[in-house]
Amino acid sequence: DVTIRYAHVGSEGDIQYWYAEEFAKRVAERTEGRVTVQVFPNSQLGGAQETVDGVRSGAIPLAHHEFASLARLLPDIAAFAAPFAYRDGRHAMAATDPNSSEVMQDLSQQLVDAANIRVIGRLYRGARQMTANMAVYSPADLEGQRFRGVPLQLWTTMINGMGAIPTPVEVAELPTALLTGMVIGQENPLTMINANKLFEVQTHVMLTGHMQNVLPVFINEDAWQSIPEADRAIVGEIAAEIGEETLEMGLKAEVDLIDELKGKGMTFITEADGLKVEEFRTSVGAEVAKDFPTWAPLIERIQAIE
Amino acid sequence: MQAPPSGPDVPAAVTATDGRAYAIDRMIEPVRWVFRLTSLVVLATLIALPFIQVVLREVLSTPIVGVEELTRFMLICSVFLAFPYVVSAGASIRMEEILAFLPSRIIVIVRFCTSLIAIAAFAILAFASLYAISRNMDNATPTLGIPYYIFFGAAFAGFTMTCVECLIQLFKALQGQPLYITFRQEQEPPQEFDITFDPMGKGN
Amino acid sequence: MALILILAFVVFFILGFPVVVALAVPAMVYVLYSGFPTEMMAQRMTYALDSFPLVAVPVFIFVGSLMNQAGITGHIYRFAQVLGGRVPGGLAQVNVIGSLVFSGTSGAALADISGLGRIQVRAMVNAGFSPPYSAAVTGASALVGPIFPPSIPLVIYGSVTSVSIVQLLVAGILPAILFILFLMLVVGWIAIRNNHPRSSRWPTVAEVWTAFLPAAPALFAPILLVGGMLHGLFTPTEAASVTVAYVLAIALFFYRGLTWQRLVFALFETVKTTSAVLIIVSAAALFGWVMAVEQLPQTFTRTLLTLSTDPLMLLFIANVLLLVVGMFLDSTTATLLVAPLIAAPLVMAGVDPVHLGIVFIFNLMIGLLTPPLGLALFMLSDIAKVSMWTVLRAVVPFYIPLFLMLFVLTIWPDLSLWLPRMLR
Ligand code: NA
Ligand code: NA
Repeated sequence: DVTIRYAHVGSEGDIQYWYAEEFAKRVAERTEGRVTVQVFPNSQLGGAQETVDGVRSGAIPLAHHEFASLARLLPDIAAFAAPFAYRDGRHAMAATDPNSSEVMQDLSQQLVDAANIRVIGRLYRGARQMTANMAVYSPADLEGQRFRGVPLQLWTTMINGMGAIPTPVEVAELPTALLTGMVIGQENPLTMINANKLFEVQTHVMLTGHMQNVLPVFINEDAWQSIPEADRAIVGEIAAEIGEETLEMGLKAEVDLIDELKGKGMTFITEADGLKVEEFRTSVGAEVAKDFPTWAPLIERIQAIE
Repeated sequence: MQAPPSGPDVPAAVTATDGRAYAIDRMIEPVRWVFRLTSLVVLATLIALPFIQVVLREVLSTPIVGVEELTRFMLICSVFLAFPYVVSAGASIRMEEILAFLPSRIIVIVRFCTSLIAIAAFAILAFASLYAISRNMDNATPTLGIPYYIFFGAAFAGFTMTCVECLIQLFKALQGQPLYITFRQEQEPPQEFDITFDPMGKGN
Repeated sequence: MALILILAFVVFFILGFPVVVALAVPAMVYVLYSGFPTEMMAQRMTYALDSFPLVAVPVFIFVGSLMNQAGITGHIYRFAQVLGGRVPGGLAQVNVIGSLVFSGTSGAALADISGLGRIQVRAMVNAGFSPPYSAAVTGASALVGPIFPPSIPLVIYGSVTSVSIVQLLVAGILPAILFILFLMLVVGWIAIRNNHPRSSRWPTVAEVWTAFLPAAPALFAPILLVGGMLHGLFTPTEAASVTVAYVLAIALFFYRGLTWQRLVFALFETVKTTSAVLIIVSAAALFGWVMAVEQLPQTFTRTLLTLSTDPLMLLFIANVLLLVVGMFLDSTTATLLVAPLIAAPLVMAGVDPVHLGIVFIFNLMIGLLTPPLGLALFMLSDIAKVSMWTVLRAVVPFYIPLFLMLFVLTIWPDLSLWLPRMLR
């Protein structure tokens, strides 16, 4: 019998928390106890970087986190997090399915060779949307404005493409920074915007859907091989099936959240209201092509899917 | 945290002495200065960086992405590099008061064991850091790409030197010499003017 | 297994092992014995310091040291003494109120103790108070910082549990003021009983003015910092570094007491104190990791929470849990580890999440002043140059207002919720 520790940084209420709990439950049932998954949520075993390093060394066998956090081990894998790479959430999930997407399988194998880590599934956390203290329609509106970006090159590139000045702010200090106007806006999935009560400090949501937040579930290769082959198939199946469920839940939650946030006083701006998503796509695309030249063939393969 | 104890009731073996009093101290002095000055410079930079970021962002509108990360990694380096200094200055946080109730013979034995365990622990931690370096040669921080070997290196250097300091203290304790070290630069300069707090005199 | 490790830590601690060693050794034995990768120990100890709230610690230690070395402290406290010296408790009262006033500039109890505390202890000792008592007053009053805005621990709590940070910060205001009043009463009472130093008469306006002028640039610092933060010029963490720049500027252009020798001394002191305290945070993280792997906090919490379904009863249980946790873990680690575990069930039982946040943080702050792992006690003994045991004995009377405050905070939700409700 195998026991596998599964660490992640999500807390209760987040879809990733539900994913891990559900995963542990179904694995125990369907392998009839041959494989036990012990979940450690809330960064109990360490933050993002530590989780990734832990999976690599084997201290933490199983985890999920952003594609960008694997970029240190395999730079090209962050292409899956590229802005405007997908048509929608469904497309994003199809392109990142390790059971069916060839480009995902390729990169997962490269990750095994490079870092002893295998991607066995993924889950959907919704599209990232832009919020600000003013109406934003096109990159021109953000000219010279300070906009909060995750302190990673990919976000710096994207926010430059959106026309704003990428400005780092710690997540914990984000509400204060938005309240005081240190930055005029930020971008995150609607669930995070609602959960962190950013509606208290922001007036507008622009439905740019610029990124699809898909989290890969990855496992230490030795831990993976320690699971009997038949059970590996079951585990992979479960990872995929709960992944699909997160997509359905995520898409539905998005619709509900828009209503909820409107009720809390936020104004939504969509393409119908004059939001120039194509302008953002072109201008961000140009920046990405400039800063990440090796991604072009990968993004092409991603966009060819389905 | 224990200030280097001094005074009539403190045994000679735990009082502090000038960093050049014994041959072994004179021998190791340059290494000590390397550690102290490096951690000092790193810390001074760490203190200045957020202010520089504020100026860059508010005055020049060009915030540097990654200053936060740099500050955090400087903190790591400074803490580990300064740790041997903490040990040699006797500033390690501990509580010896309960131990003091025990008979002096037992205290000596406990102190000796503490010393041996500490030496072993720091040696293993130094080894673990070295191992972490070997496993992370290609790894680097997400934003600025600072190689991991830099701060694991700081941990390795810090733990190794701490181990050496503990060995020196064990050796000194066996010789009955004062354990702790202070240099002139770390002694508080005298107040140039007298601070009188109660210009109106004390009374009730 | 987890209990054996805790027992080992306590025994080592009592036997006078350096706290780092007492924490690291049991955890290391566990890691090696259970076959975890060796490098994991180094990784955990290193990553634990990769935390943005901790960056403010050395900066505030430096501010305090710098203000001492530049002679600014003297001017501030001469003014404070002239103004409040006649009140029973004199400078001790100033120390208490000072924590509230300067809380805006630090927002973390340890930073308050190491920075401002250094100044306050020295001033009190110079005015004739005993070093242990000065340390105790400083420690108890520093606990107000994290419940009065701005507050780094509340921000962390809010981001871990997804509770509105703005509401949490506002909720802390009234409890903080009440707590300060409690402390002032205790300090006044102790002063009268023990005949503490006190001025013989009230000052004249001219005396106040003469004392105020040289202190003015330093007293302007909190106004400048809070103003800057409200205008979005810098974040609370950046405020620490801005303070250094401001203090350096007034030290060079106004006070002119700062020499190279003093600056170097201040830096050395900062390096040493920072390392001595943070290396423990680092070892505690390794220890906490092992506890988490052994699922101790999880099991412990789950068991305790099944004992009742009454919100008030659950809050009391949470208090006990948090006091125990606060004794062993530093507040950041404890928040990350325990907040997610207890927040959900308590909120479901009907406890207001904002109220819980204030109770939660105040509990952990009390843990800073209780052995065995009371980081504040360690710092105070360093600052006051007395042993930890002595500091602890002087702190004991202050447990009364601390626990009274905790009790009031627990049973009276409106104290925390009245202000934020006006925002809802
Ligand atoms: Na505060
Ligand atoms: Na105080």
